Amino acid sequence: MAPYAGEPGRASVLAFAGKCLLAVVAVGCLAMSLASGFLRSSDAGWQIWELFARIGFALAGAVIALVLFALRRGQLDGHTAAPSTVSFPLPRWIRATKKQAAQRLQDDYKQAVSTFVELLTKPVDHRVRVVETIDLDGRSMRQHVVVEFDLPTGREDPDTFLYVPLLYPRKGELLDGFHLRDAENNSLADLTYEETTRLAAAGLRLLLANARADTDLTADPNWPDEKLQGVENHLLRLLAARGQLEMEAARRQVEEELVPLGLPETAHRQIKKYVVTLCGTYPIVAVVNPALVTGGRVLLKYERAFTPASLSADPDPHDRSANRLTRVLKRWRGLARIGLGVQPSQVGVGVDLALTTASYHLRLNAPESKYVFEQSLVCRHCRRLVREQWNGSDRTDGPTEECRHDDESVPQQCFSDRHYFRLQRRRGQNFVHVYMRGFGRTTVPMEGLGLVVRFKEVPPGSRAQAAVTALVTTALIMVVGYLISQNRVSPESDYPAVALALPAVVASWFGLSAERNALVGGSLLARLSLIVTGTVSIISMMTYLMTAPTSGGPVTPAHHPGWSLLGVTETPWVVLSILSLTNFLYIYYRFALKLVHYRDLLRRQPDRSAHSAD
Amino acid sequence: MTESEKSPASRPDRIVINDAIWVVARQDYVDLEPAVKESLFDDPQRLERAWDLTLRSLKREADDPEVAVCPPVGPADEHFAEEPDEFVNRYTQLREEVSRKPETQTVKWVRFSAHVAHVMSWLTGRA
Ligand SMILES: [Zn+2]
Ligand SMILES: [Zn+2]
Repeated sequence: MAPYAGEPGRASVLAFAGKCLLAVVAVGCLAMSLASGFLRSSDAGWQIWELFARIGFALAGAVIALVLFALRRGQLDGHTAAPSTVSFPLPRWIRATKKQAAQRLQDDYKQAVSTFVELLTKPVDHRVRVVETIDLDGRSMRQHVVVEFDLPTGREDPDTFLYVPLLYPRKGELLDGFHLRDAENNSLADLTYEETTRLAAAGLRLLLANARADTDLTADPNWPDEKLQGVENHLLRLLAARGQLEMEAARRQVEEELVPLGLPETAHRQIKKYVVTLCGTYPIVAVVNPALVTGGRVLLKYERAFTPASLSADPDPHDRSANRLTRVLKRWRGLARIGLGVQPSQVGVGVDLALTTASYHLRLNAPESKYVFEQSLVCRHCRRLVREQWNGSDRTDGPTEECRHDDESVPQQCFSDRHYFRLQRRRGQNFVHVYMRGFGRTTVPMEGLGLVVRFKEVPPGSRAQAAVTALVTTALIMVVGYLISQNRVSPESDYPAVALALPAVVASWFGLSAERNALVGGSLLARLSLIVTGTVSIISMMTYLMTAPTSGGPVTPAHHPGWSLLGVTETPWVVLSILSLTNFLYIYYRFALKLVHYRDLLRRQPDRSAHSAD
Repeated sequence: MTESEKSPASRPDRIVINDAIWVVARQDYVDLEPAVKESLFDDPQRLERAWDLTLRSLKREADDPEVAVCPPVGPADEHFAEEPDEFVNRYTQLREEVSRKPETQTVKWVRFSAHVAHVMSWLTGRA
């Protein structure tokens, strides 16, 4: 039985008990490594033996803990990788579907069915503009898309409704928070799975009939013959299959079904495109009232929620530029973000919708408190910046095997019929605007392009918060250090300890309160600085409690090594002051850098053209 | 962080993502078939004939008694039972042919780690 079945058998209960036992042993080992005196004896060397024993316990505890961690992790990984099963409908279900399609079809469905086929086989010609907006406000990502259709001409009957395939979710994917609307924001109906399958069956029959609709042949009362019906049923089973099909295999099977029919070349291509598309997707088909169509154009909208996936601490396999140490550090930076609860400040969005339309706009909106720091249009596979002379290519000898582009140099003057893109110049705004044209018309679609954006906080932001906290801490430590150095602290006074602990409280409160409700995270550096501030503050409080003068006089006699930091002469306080000061100066320096960068962005002159490398 | 604050003039031709990043997972189908140029609307008369043929042939088949005995459509999943037949076998065979790819270094590492995890789970009696 598969592990997802979740049947709590005897074996899994035993395994659970085993793991509990291991955990208890691990905790016991770690406790023993902290204990002392358990090997006390009259032997002279007992302390050495005890030291070895403690090291041994610590190692054993750590190893057991690691094993438990690895097991748990392997289990979690297993949960995410559920197998994708494909199931095909039975032949009798296909027959029933066709029968129902026949019963529902009327003479005036011609327009609806032929428009559906046309929009499905030639999406780019009829989706003249797609405007996509992604909002990163709050905890979730919402996508709004407006699609402008230029419906096929030759619609002689303007009173019949239309079936418009609007979006193409991959099979097996669920749509989250989905709404379909017309231009006036009224809700629109869409077809169910069964209805879509019946429509697909009628469309397939129409395509097969069209392949054969030469004047003198249409009177054939026995069309389609048994062989053609067999092929049709196979194609319908393939396109009605549930789950994610392996597209290359589906494509081959469609080809193998169609070849024996000996159809004309054009019909063969049309049918293949139609069936293969429906193998990969259950299209969302909007039922459109003809009153919505003006001048052959209709505007449809949809919105849905995305679940973003955080990709982190994943070493970049193509990063050969940096040395190993830099790579390890970068990797830890990703882990630190997760560990410290700072959300990623980078967002990657695929621009695949550009392949389905003549003209594509993408706007990515961040909260007002963020500005665009870096924006690049890249190939997701090799992470190279997209260049206008790139062309679609299905060769596998590109930068990576999945890449679908190659560097074909074409003189820049003749790009009027070529693909083209623009990124809005950065001027301190909180959104990215990409415009892409013609990417749907390249001979091979350039799949895998994406937008990568790094946002930063609009100053002052959390870096200023961290800098102020660090400054106050430094001042407090130096004042207390000064008072102690000068022997001016009254014995048994607790006020300095309370004052020294205060920054730790403030820092942890800032750290916890910041960015709770934002998807795009703030500054990792600010969070680290707050942690340093808090730690230094706690250490200085402990130092004070252990070294402060008691009523019996100072714990350690004041000594004067002859050097001082602004009157602080006690070594622990000098060290703490320097640590805190360094923390403050560094975070302030980084804050100032960001301030200057942001000011420079705001000062930029308006400029309509800009490249991604701007 | 430091290299991105340098002047933009020294920008490389590719980006390095090693920090955390939100990925908006697009679950949309991307059609990799080349575009077709032919349209049903190229020839209205032909489309008219094709539609007649479509409607006529489908209606005739629906009247066919052999098809009419087909049971009514119940809950959808009932009709999706996996049944070994020639059609399904062919797809499965094609899928296996297609998904056979040379092993990369990463795949080897994943395989090795899976092996280690398996040995460990055997040792602790989880398997
Ligand atoms: Zn735009
Ligand atoms: Zn690439």
